[in-house]
Amino acid sequence: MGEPGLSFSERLAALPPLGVGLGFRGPLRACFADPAAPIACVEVVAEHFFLPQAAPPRRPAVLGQRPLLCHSLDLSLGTPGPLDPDYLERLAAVARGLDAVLVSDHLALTRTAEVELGHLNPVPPTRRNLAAIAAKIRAIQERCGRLFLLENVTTHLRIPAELSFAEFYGGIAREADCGLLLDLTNLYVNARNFGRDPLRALDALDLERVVQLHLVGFSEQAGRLFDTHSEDLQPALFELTEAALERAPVRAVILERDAHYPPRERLYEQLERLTQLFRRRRGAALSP
Amino acid sequence: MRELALETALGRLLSDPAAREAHRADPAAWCAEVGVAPAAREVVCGLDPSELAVQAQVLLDKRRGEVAERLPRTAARLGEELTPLFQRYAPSSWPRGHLRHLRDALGFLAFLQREAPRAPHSLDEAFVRADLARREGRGPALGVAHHRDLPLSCAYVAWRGPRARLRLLLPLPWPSALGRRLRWT
Repeated sequence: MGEPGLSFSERLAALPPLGVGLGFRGPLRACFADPAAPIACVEVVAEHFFLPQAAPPRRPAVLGQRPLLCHSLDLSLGTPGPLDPDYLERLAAVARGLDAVLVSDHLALTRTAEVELGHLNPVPPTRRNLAAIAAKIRAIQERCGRLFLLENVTTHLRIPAELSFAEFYGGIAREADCGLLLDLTNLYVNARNFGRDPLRALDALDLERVVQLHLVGFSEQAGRLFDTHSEDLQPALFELTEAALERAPVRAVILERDAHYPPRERLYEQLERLTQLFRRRRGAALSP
Repeated sequence: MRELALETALGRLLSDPAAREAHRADPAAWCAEVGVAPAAREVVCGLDPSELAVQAQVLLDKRRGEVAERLPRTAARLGEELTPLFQRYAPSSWPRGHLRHLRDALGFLAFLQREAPRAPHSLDEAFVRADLARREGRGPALGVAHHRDLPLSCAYVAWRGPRARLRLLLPLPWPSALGRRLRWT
């Protein structure tokens, strides 16, 4: 996994199915300690392991031997100019220290030359940004020595530029020779808010590069959907998951939750249902 | 005047309510006024003001959620007042870096000290400072808490213990009149 210079196809071929897992958050720690929990893999937020000391980050014992995916939030790939070298070093150290299988971040703008916006915003889909972001991803893959996955974000703002979202997202992945982390909730929320069919939005993407899925329930306010990360999965998301698993070489599915944590049993029910879908589509070669 | 790149102009529109108002009133005039690069003007003028407003509000809502998670007792005290107060605080403060949510929480507490002085909960402040100290590689956080209703103050040491559990050491309190001038270290 750590060999630099491999193509996307080679890296994908070497990556076994990892199964269905859960995003690691403090309030969910007990789930990871539970031997009966249906959690085959785990995704950690890289920034939670950014330490000031030179010592490498340590893998929390509670995660056990589960395959680990490293997800960062703040590369801000859409910011013009070079990557923050200090941030990249820290990300690489976390990926190494935690023995991550994959590294991912968003196709997003979280800061500009003037302001740190704090959360994810859409990137203007221009050819210039496509080339610039692809170059950054190549550098990340090289430095981290792992396959990088680019995640789509929720947006309430459409930016009328040269490329469609599908052209931009897939174009970056092809140019960078990286994979995609498809957040099905974000795809669903965007499609519904802008009056499109989620399944058609899915089919417009370069699905051959989708290696990982993210899912979390959405909330609704005044007819608009939001990815508040605070709800259980809705039936439409399970249907979309099945469609994505049918079409894409997905290796891992991660259920996220960042607020209004439900009782453990309710979380397990969702994980088990996703595991059933995953097994049906990706075969039984999964660790429990 | 330096030309604003498309992304920089977008950042201004998402972080500054006055910029959004000016853009809504006359996008071309706003572009000219702030010096948006000519190549970016068509795109900036094409942005839908109502979509910009929703996206900007989502940014503030997510920040508020992060801050409320770090200040649970203060948020509970504020109840429905949390949202309007945070809405007043947030547009003028945009903390940077991967520890920004902790810094945002401290910034909001400082704002509350001025605007709603009975709302900040000392335990929240102690724990946020302990978290920040740990993440910045400093030792335990030292501070002084003042009781909301009684004329008492108390020095404390806060740190993260095993399994990242927060620990607090509270020595005996003293009358607030003697210690009000003490500041955080």
